[in-house]
Amino acid sequence: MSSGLDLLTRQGLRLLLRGVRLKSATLQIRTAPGKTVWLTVLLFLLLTAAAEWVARSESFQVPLTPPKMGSRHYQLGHKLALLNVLARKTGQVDCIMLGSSMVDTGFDPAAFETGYKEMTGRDIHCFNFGIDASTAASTAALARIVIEDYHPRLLIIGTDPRDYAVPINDPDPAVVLKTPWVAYRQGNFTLEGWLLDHSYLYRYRQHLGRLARFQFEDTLWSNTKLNFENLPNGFTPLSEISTYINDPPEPGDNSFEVTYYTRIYSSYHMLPENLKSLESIMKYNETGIPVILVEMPVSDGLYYFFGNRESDYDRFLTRVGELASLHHVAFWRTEPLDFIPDNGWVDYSHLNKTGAEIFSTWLGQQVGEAEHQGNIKANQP
Amino acid sequence: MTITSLNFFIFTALALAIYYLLPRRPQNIWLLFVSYVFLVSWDWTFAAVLGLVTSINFLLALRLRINDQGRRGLLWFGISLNVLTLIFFRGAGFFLPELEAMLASLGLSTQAGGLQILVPLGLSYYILQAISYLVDVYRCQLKAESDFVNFGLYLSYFPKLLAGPIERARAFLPKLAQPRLVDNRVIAQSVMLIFVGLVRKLIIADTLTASFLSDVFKIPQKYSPLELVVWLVIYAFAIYNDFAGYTDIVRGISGFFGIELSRNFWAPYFSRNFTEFWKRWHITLSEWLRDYIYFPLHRVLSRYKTGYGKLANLILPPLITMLVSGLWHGFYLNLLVWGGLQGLYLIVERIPAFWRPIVPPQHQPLWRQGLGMVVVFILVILAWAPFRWELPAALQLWEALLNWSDVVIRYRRMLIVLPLLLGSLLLDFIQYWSDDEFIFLKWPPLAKATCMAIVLFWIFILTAGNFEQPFVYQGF
Repeated sequence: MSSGLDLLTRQGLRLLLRGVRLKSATLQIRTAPGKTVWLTVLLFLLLTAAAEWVARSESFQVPLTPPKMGSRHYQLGHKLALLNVLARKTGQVDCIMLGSSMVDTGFDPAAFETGYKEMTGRDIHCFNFGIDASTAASTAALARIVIEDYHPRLLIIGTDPRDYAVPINDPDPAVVLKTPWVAYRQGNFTLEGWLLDHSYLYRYRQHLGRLARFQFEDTLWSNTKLNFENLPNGFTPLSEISTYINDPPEPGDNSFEVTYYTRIYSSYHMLPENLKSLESIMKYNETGIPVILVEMPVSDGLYYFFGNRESDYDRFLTRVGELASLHHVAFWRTEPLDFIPDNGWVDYSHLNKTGAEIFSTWLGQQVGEAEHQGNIKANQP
Repeated sequence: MTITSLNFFIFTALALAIYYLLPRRPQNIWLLFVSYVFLVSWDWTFAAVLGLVTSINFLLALRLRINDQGRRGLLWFGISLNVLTLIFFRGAGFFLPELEAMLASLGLSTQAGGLQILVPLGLSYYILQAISYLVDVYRCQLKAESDFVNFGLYLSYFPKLLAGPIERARAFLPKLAQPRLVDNRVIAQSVMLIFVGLVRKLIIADTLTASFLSDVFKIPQKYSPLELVVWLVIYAFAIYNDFAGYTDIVRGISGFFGIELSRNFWAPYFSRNFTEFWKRWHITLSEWLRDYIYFPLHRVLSRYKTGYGKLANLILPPLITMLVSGLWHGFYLNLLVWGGLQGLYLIVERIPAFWRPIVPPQHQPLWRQGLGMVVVFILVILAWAPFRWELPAALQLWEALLNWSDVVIRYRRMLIVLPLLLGSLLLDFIQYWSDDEFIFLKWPPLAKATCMAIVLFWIFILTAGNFEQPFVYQGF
């Protein structure tokens, strides 16, 4: 068998080197590549290797915006890069909070660290990895990546009913999962995913192409809009204050927010596959990485969008609570606490920086207390 | 499906794979089919218009000569029909708003967005080919093609469909009747053409085009005279490399099918006079204009030997020819001015012919040749102003060029792209000096391989920028 394969390999190699004579009515060529072709391939590979070496250097990467990893998601690459910088700077990112835009604007790592220190007297480094439009499925995919690459000592998942709702297309909830690099990291092999994972040149190829065409916006770090929105710890502080958050939506209000919530919540039910994704995150708890599940605060006005008002929302809490206790994961609810003041909201479900500070301080204190009681080991290597 | 896209590459590869398996006659049927599929990939109505134009011209040509007598009326009918088709589609932008206003005044409102007519892709090119075919048949320079497939392919052959070269039926149709041979030499030449074309288009032209600031074409007076000169020079090289690159690529692709297409450019910015410039710039269009507009006009006016007749013969043929060229590029006043200016250059150049024979540039002293190149280049780039800028902006640009009080360059990108201009000149110079388009094939393997590796690497980078510039001449 093996000698047969060797023979085939040798024959294939011979065919490649010597070529064959093709003789149809029109095409009359010898297929053997000449010296020029071999040299071109060799020089191209050398050039690519040299460029890869340059692309891996910090001095090359620093002035550029983070690569998007093949994603159409505007935040993913940026947050990954911020996380990289924080990991490099601190040596270890102790905790990472994952979730949707509610986490992105609602979790202030600095306030969390303060609340934690109040309870334990110890410093901790946290990062906000909330991604717009993320659902339980994409959060699970990102959880796997951050655990493999950054080894955090604590994983916090901010959850809300939208994580399990039937998806609608705008914004595309699968945008993170469709990212070739994310898909590759979940075990779905694609050439692009492999290249993105292994080659820095490939990651930065788009930047170079855009720079060569004088497109500096979103290519140079100093010109990137996101750079002014996100803090280095991943948090997106918002300063707007909403006044309508406790009221039902106005009849005939066709704003994106109202239409969006109406579409996903009016006949709310939870997708089993998204609940499975949540369970896959919870299973990390069994491998020694503490996982905490936190209900992201929502305003009273959000209940008006559910077909069955509070009972739909309670169904979400009950189901997630059941899974949490099944996997021995802490599930901290915020709804009964009602600690976010009316000036702490941007809209029905997003906190502004005032709300984020209150919520995050509370969360830090909770984690500190849980650690003190020996329920979790967030800050112990 | 643009010709630098991956889709086009796959499409061509599939077309070739089947093409090589077929004998000659089915090869033509296959190519005709593939060409129409290519057109339908843009819009099916484009294919319908081309099919109609092809059928009408095919039938007309068969009836153009009866008992060895040309039917002049039928020829003019055919020419008029083709010209009117061109005017109808290209002029739609002018008459549709008028028509809409008229309908509205009659209480007949159109749908939201108004009336719209898409200009069929490649129309300006295949209409010229159809006219030349009818004239050649009428003049007995060509026998009317009796094979509809061959004639259909002459007008629709996909590598030249979008923007030429404008082939003559008398040169192209015999190629379709012959068996084709694609050997290693042809492959090497085709690959070289494609490489050179990609360098011109993706590396030089697209980068130069991207360097333009958005308001350069709207408010030229914002820039210093020196900057305007640099923008003009950049534009001159951008449009040249864009179109020359396109032609090289399609000629290379056609080479793989064993069908040689005409050269369209030959180092035009090394021209020593304007007559030479038009022998080097968009050669197939220039030759078409020469053979079907300039020469007929010249012949008619040559009958008048008096002073005024001679003067008319000096002025009218080049002027009318270049005005038609301007109109062919678009029904806009600025393009008419561009054509008029080019006509004027040719007229002025011919004035000395009144009192002494014209010495061909290659027989002139070197300093005269060099001076000629500089003068032609300067005047040609000045004429690019109304070609690209709308007329008021072009006039402002020319006006601003007269005021040299502010001699600065504030935009670094203008300086960054200057090496590309040198690259373009070097590419031309190497071919021009050796008088061999395929000179690069004679280079040592290491030199060829180094160039190809660098080009491949650079294209690998550039194609990631999501920056796809359409070919400028595809718009005509």
